[in-house]
Amino acid sequence: MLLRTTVIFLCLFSGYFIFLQSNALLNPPPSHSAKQNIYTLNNNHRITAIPDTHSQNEEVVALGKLLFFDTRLSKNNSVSCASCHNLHNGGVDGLEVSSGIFNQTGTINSPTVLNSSLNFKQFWDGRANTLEDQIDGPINSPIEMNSSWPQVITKLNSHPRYLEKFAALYPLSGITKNTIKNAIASYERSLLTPNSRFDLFLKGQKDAINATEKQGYQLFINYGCIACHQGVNAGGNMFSKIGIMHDYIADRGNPTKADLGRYQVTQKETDKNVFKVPGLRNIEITGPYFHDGKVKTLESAVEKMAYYQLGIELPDNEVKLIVSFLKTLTGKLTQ
Amino acid sequence: MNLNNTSRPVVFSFLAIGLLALITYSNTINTPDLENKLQLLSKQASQLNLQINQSILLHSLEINNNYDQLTELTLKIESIQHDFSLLEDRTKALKNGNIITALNKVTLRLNEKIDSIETFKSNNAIYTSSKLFANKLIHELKSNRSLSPSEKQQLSHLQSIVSSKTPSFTEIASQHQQNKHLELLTQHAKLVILYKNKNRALIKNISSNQLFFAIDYLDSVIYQYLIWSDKKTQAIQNIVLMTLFLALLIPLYSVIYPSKPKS
Repeated sequence: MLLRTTVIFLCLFSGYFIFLQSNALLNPPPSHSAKQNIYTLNNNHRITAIPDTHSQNEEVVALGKLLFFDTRLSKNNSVSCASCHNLHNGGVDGLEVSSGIFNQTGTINSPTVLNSSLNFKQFWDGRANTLEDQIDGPINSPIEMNSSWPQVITKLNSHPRYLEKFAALYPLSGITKNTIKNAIASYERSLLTPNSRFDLFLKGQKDAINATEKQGYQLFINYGCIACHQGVNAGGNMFSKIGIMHDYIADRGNPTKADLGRYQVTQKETDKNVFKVPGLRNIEITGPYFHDGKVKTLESAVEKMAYYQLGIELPDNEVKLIVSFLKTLTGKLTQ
Repeated sequence: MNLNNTSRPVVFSFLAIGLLALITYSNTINTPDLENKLQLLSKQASQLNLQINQSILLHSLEINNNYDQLTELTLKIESIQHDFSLLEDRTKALKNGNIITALNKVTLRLNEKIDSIETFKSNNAIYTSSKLFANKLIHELKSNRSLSPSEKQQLSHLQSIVSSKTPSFTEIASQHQQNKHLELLTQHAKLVILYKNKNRALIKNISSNQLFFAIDYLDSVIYQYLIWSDKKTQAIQNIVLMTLFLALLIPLYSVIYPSKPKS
């Protein structure tokens, strides 16, 4: 009896040690081998073409579109995302500053939602790192939608169509803050405008832009505009101060809190009047311009940029040439 | 409970096996996850750090012409910094001062690096813009035949400054220019010098080994901690095993060499 018990124990011990060893073998410490370099250095074009397609799930995009146009996101069901980001108007509302709930006016110009996913950060001051983070802003702002996530979720939960769609696309989570944000952000990521005439030119179709527009492009480079307005979105990937050579805010007068720009996020003196460089894609149809929306025409925007950033007054003919180039950046929505 | 000589070792053995299983289970559940995550993040940060330095170098050599690649890399390293901050509370729970200090150092260096990259992009854009515009002005002024000999001399001097690899402020004369274009060119030549020098300092700062050393230190303290915790677990397991064998051996000894009953 005792011998049998001892044998059983010895077997159990052996099994236990084998288990310990196999556990160590199955869960090795993290490897020290270098991760493969996934980046290429094919980065020599200052402006690059927008990809022809987006990589978002079409069903999620469709749900995001429903939400984007749904006024239930606001407290009194009067304002939707599309109220300030009109897709028939370049993804903007065409106003100096937007009008929110109870017709309250905002403090800053609404940037376009078109190609917004190509921006490295969201808002003029870059306070949101992602499109998902950005959505918190208008939902909770008392002058925009004046709502809250619990209110939005309650409203959407009472709508069978949303219940059904969220259950199908997010079976584990259903309608939550994160799934709503994911759907809207996916829709926004789908709002790319490829195949502008300039993109076709970049892709090798040399006659896609005419001689005047090419001259405008050359001036755009020679005046150094391209130093900030570069990359796939012709901007949107860095911060810059407005008024390198002259003080734009002082000349305009009536400084506001919004004029502080990036300073509001970082509280650094050097970030005063610093803003995310706006992308120039579809610039022809996204006026009025600048963070304050005070500049009504593209010609005026070019003149002011030349004066405040370079310290020069551009001759009219050069302004026209640069504007003619900028108009070649208008693309076509992928949907 | 009344245990006889045969059943005592069985009970002891079961208790010991249960204890060993519990130690192993708790060890599997608690320890490696956090440390592995930290190690993985530190490795990713280290690789991104190298890629960023490479990208910055290409910008400084004016080979990279837009910031998309650098921005993408910076966003990735920002995301790693965010992931590190999410692990902060759990790291504090380890109560290992070395790991906490190392993690704080890495976070600080990452912050510095990200800030420096954004400043570099802004400064480099002003530098590039001023240089492009200055070259345009130089080209226009050169084709202007009404320039006086002294203005021509100044133009040539400013041109050499703009195209110099190591421009210095002392090279720019502070005299007032009569020619508006020449005055504008002087202003932009000053911007070229100012931002070229600022960039040089920033590149040095971004490419310095401080982040690399901070990550390396974090990696080594985690590694030491893993070895230490592994040894600790093994020591506990050995003690339990020793106790178990003793518990088994004593009754076995009494069975093999039974003591003679006292008469």
